[in-house]
Amino acid sequence: MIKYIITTIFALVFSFNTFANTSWDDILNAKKAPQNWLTHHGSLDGHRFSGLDDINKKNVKKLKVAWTAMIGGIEGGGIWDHAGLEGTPIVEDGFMYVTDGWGSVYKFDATKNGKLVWKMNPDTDHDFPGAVTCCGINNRGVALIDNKVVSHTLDGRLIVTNKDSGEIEQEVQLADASIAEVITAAPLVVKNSAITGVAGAEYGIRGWLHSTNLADGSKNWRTYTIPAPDEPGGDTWKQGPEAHSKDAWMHGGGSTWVVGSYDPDLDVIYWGVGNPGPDWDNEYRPGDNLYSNSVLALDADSGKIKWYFQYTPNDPYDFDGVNEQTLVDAKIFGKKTKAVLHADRNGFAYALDRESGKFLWGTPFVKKLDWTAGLDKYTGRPLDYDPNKDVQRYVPSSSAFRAQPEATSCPGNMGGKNWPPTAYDPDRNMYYIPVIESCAMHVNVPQEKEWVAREFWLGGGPKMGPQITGSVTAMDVNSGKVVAKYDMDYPQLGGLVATKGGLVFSSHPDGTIVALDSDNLKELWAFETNTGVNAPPITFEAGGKQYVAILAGLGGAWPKWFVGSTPGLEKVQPGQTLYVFGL
Amino acid sequence: MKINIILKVLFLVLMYNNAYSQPPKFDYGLSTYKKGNCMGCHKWHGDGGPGYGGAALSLRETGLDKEQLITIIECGRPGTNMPFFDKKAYVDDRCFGMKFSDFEGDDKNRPLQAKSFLNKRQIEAVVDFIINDLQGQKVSKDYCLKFFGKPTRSCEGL
Repeated sequence: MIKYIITTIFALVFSFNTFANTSWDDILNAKKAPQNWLTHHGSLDGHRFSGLDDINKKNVKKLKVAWTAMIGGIEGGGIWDHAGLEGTPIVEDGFMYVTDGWGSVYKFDATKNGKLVWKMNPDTDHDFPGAVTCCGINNRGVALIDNKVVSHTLDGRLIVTNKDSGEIEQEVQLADASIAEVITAAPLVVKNSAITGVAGAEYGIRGWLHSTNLADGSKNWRTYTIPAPDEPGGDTWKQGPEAHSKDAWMHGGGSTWVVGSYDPDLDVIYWGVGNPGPDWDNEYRPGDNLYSNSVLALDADSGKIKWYFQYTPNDPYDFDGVNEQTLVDAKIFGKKTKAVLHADRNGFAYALDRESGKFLWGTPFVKKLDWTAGLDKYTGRPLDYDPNKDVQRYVPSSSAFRAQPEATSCPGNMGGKNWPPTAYDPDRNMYYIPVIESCAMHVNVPQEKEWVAREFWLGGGPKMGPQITGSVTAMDVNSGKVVAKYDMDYPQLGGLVATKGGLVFSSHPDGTIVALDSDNLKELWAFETNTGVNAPPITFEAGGKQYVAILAGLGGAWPKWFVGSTPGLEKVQPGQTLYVFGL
Repeated sequence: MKINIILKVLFLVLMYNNAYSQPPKFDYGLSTYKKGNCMGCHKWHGDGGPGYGGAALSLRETGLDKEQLITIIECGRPGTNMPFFDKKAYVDDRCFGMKFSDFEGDDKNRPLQAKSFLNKRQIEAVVDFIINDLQGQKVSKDYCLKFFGKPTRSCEGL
């Protein structure tokens, strides 16, 4: 009888929640409702940590497929012969929201084995943006607020969809594909606004972050990541040998294609900024090239930059600093600190004081790093950075420049680590990093030709070098030391989630999904999807039962540009499946 | 009234002719160009230039003849990002008299394998496509429409 009453109460509560709006309070308190996966990183601090522990070290071996769903949108467009799946599913009250590469949103009922509730197809232009997206046809997911599902499309729109009906309520054109601006990142909802990042540095865009008022679609603010000459930081873009390089800042890159994090106490948004352009010709753009390869701390209401920290000034390597920012209140060197963590393409993981931007520690998380001898322990600047020079060489044998057009660096241009997200376990104070263990060659081709819209703006390119492998690496946040590695034959191209059950879920790009022990990264469970996995796993609860979900479908830049350095990955076929596992 | 009907019929005939006078023609060479990911580096327009695949040569400006193009596609260009598409390349000595064992320990020059192999028929078709549609020609609207298979904003302004 008691069981019957509890079940009835649960059903009533659940049924009530089905129709509930997503309030800002719900988002702020996402960790208190671990049955949901309410924001891109699970919570606004970017932890990708779930408080669920029904699936744990003791029973994870019994994990099996609960249900699957086929996702559409695999067709190609532009220069791409297929689209990929890189999205993070969002779950609220048993309903799951997933995107495909072309920005269609699918709402599944996870309590009914994934029955499709609705699909919203935004009718994305395939060929025009598809011809200029550097790194695949991708869309990394949605955000929820009120009765809205907020998403992006590759052709540059912000779409607001009614959560119940799946009908589009609002569309706002934000990015301009005629100058190669495209959008692949998920939006970040802060209060009643959606924050949008843009991609396109490889085509010489001037990067930005844009805040849209979700009430009426109007602009709250747009902050450019590359300052104009009369703005602070504008003097870090000097003229190079070519006359047209006096306007280098106008095509300076600084994309923002990975979603940021938000600290409600400080009312600050933290967002990584990508590489400067042209990528491989830093002689074209003497100076530190702010705010490329930096983290920006921005006032949420005005978009004003409060502070910045630059990881790789005057970058000659394509060490895109766009990766996610993880906000932790943790012991660092034994002292409780409000910090922001970041694992960069340049191979270093960083901890900064997130109130001031002060450098706390920086440690290599890759096995081999040779482009600089280390980081200055006070400033965090690369030790081989020369403040008296406008054009940086770092370790000269590692960087390509006009007098030395080829060179090899470790890590290579893909990192280190690329966009696939890290996870942070607050119980263990442990930072888990999906790693690309790589070296790659760089080729400098002087950027003598003026910028042309929709033409690559690279000043060279990468060249395949030695075979690239990968790992999942665990780092102790207190000390900034690597404490464990799970070695992989291929780079980790999907991202991670950590759980209170003592597990880290991860994937191999040739199709294996694995569960690792949070304490030592030993593999405890594996499942073979036999397609590429380029998306992060999440965990949630539906009908009182914990599940793990992940999209499987070959995507990203790797299949097109980098298979030459990962023999065997060329055999991986595109896919389009949502996997959900349960005990 | 009669004139009106005649005009309407004439209009429909013209529309029909316009729509169907040049039906899209399947080009095995173009299809192979896409399948082989040639466009990844040489671009959809074939003019090459810098890219994530490296600085690819222009197939519109290339002076290579048919036999030379076939050799480069079959064997790639060791030391560059141009991969080999022949399954047997460097397994036996058909490519420049060299085998994989000749490149051991030489990461800089080792031949790179293509994403997918092409057979002899496919390689010849893609070479014919390069010679007939790219070599010595400027990018045109007709070519753009042929590549994308339908009108797209990418072809505007050509």
